Amino acid sequence: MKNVFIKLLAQAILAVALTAALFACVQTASIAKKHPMEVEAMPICADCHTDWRASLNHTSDFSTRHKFYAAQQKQVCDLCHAEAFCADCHANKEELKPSDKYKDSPERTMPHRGDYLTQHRIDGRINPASCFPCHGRENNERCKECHR
Amino acid sequence: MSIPRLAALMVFLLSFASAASALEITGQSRSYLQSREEWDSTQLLPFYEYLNFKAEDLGSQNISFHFGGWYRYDLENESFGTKSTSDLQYAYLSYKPDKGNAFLNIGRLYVNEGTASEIVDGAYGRTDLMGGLTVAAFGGSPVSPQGTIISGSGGTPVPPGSDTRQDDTLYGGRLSQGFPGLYRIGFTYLLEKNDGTDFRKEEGLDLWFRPIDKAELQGKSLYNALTSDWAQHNYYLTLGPFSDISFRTIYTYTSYKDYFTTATTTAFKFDPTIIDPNEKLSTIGEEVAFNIGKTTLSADYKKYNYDIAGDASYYGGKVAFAGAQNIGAGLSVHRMDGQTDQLKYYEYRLYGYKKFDKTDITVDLLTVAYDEEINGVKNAYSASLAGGYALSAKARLAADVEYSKDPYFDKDVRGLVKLVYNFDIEPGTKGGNKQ
Repeated sequence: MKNVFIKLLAQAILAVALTAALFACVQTASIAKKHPMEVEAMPICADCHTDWRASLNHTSDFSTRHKFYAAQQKQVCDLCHAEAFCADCHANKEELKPSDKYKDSPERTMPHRGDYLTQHRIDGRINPASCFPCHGRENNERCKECHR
Repeated sequence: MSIPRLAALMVFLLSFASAASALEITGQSRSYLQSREEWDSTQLLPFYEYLNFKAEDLGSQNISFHFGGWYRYDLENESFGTKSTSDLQYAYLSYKPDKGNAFLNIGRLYVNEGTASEIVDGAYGRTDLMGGLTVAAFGGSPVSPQGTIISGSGGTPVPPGSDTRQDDTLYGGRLSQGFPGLYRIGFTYLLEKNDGTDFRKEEGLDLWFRPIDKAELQGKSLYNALTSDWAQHNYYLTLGPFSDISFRTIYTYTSYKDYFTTATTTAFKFDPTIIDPNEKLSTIGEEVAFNIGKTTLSADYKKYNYDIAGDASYYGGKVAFAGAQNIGAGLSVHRMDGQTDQLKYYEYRLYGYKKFDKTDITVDLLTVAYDEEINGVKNAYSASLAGGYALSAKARLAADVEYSKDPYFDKDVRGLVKLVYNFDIEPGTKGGNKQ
């Protein structure tokens, strides 16, 4: 047991030292903390950017693909969005539906608009994987009212 | 310590600390008063306060503190069985050096790394390395107080109510490599231990590939190392725009026995007479969008292919207008075509909004027509009217009312009043609020 611990500790120290050495060689500047210009809601990034950043256009399908950008480069999201923006939907515990908080933003894709209580019985059977990212391991307070 | 007290203490300490540095605090307070009715006609009047802020330049331009949380108090009866409750969404100290996109966060924080998307009490760090490499590591205890685990390692059933994720340990990391503007590919590892045994052991692959300006492929694949099989694939291809026409293709695959292994709600403990736990679902969908000035016309189709159950499809179209002068409208019609009449419905939505100088108004109408009656009802209607008024450049007061009629409520009227206040304080440099 002691040998295993020492081996793990040695590996961890080695990994940290290697990372520190490689980081010391990095000369690239970090991305800005804030977007240099204030942008309107649902920005079309291609209006200014002609490179890969144009792909961040907040078109109608952006809600479907935003998870891919967040998974790889969340620091780009942080240029404009506070963490609370994500937490409005991706919550550990939430009682107010996002669509109830933002009735005045109908253009935004929000889950569970209208009578979703009835509709979820169908959507949940068609594709339960669509529920799981938000309600599988957390944010189950509403689910527990029936699914005890 | 409760959320309001913690927030007040944090604001006080940060304000005090500001005397010695160029501290800047930016944030938002959102107060909601909701009126709604329970199934048994119990009237509820919950008041919610959401507070989030970011304190930057904490002694150094590279150190910041981030906070988000909410508190609820019921002015009438009890929502969800409690008079009051709260949630600390995140509260972490962040160190960001000037180079290498590096950061180290410590506290309650969100982890977004490849296939890992977690909320933990712990630490999370990341940095770019040489050769387009990026490395990240995270670890801590998962924040998930609700619900007991319904299946153990690799999907093994556990007795109900016997265990939670409360004291689990979770750690992992991601290594990725890419070339700016062309591609990035990453490998994620995640391990969660529950009482010393492996509860989740996941490996993942994430990809972003943009070979030309008009083609982009993104995706993630999740491998369950405890069941030794792929749990999910999720890929998205965007082509265009070609003369204002864009094509979007989505492909997903989910193996139920490998994906739903670690739930804390019985909603995902499938009854074999309704959903076979060994089901494998793959979906393929296509959306074509055509832009005409400020108007977008789109048509979409998604096919659900099941190994065991019969197939289903979802299709429809949408027209959306977003004008430059704060005006917009949309109309959509969709059809869910499941295997049986129980799984079929039409969905219609019409909305419009207009922002004037300081005021704004929004109308939203939704209708769902079910093929088969539910509780003797085939149609659900929902109509909402919202209005807002900008009290100042930083404060906005808004209210909405929603009327609905559906299989569970003969008549449901809900109301909500909200006050949003944005604050931006730089006490160290300007001595007060900044307009």
